[in-house]
Amino acid sequence: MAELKKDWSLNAGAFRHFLDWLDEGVDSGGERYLEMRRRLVRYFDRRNCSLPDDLADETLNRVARKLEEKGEIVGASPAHYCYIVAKFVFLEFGRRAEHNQTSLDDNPGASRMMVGLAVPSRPDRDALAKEILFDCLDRCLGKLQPEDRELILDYYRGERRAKIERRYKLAGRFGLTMNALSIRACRLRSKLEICVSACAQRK
Amino acid sequence: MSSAEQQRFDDQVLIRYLLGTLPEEEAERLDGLSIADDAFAWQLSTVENDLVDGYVRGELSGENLARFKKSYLSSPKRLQKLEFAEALGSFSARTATTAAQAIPATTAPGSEPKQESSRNLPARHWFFVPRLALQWGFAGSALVLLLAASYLFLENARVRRQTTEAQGSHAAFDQREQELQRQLNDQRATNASLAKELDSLRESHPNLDQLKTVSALLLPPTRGAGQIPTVSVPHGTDLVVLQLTLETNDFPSYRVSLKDPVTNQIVWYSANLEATPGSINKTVSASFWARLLKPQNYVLELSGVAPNGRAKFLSGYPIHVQIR
Repeated sequence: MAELKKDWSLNAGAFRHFLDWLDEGVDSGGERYLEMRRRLVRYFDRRNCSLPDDLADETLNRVARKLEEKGEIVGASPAHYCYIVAKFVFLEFGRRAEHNQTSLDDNPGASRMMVGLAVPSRPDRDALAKEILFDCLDRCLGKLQPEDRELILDYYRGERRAKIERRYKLAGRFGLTMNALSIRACRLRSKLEICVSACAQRK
Repeated sequence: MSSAEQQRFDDQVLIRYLLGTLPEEEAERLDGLSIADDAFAWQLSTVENDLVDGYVRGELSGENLARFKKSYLSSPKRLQKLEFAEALGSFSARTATTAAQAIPATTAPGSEPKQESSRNLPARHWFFVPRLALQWGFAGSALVLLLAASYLFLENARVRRQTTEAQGSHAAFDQREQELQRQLNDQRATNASLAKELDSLRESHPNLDQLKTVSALLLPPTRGAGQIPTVSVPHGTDLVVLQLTLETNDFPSYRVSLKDPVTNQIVWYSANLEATPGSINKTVSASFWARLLKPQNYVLELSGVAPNGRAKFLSGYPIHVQIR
């Protein structure tokens, strides 16, 4: 992504302004920014872009730059505006990829990466990676509040009907609606995934 | 968008969206909602988690299974998600199994008396063997011999039982020790092998979709003009993690800002952070993108945040950044 807008970089003041704008008056302590970035990464990933993190950062940089230039952005909510910019970034990426004929098959780096991660016959590596992940998960679960640990383990345990019934009971126990429970479980899982990923990289 | 916030989508539609089988126009609409609509974004995450868990448990079939393998698992990020789901599933299963195993363990001692009584049966049996066919002349001596033999037999059986139990315990201990040793060896081999593998992956795939991290522990700043610690950041590093050792842990949370001492400009600042136990004192961990740094001096300013939200400056941790 080095080709895009490399003549401008986000300074501290612009970044702070950008965070405030994303927060829409409710100080989230940077959480809103992280959540927006996560959504953008998922969006680019679903669109099968090879560098979803870079494209998400590029999107956020462009929005922050526009905000700095204009002072304010009107006509769309911050999240919706981010999506509009993300769509442009995606289209540019698509055109560039087409122009350079970069696809997973053609891009040696990308295809190596896929080979390294997705070859089915890799029992040793699977076993090793699983042990590491398991250990990291144990540690990361240990960092959660006992109530949250109980919630996430119970929420994702079981199969089909048993799982659904358990979730109803869980919602009752925690005094939450099913929707609120699913959001809480989802947030916890997302937090755990980040923690486990960081832990596995350190090992 | 506001009406969409109230709407709960059919999970099957979201599954089709995740598996890439929705018409393009509809997929684009959901793309927008996945970013701009909080309720939709959370519902999508929930459905995605359940979809991946379903695959891990073998609950997917037919077209969904085929699409999942072909389409969903085509990205490294989604593979990571799958691996996490596998780990979470195993963890839940192991936790459940451990709880279940506690039940037979408590009932085991109850079986002991039964075994004991069955072991004593042959001994008792000797006492009740009818001796009526024996001649009276041998009766007395035979009785003495029998009593002695019975005593010896019982004693022998008791000693043999104790020996067997002791051997059994030792064998169990040995077996457990061997098992633990084997697990330890496996773990060591796993760690060594993975570290090696990661090293080689890092060397061969510099663009791996993973963060490269540099971390350093910063001790509390001394009053005198000591040497400024150098943080060496290799090119290509994504994240810098600095652990600030606290002199005392008097606040429920802390904030850290990274300052350029020449321009006095704040390059980065953290949200509220909690102190965690470190090797010497508690530490506060500050993580920020490496690309914010230039080869120069910086000061990490640590503030304590009181329960009422007011921040108090505590100390500055100077560092010299070296990019190599």
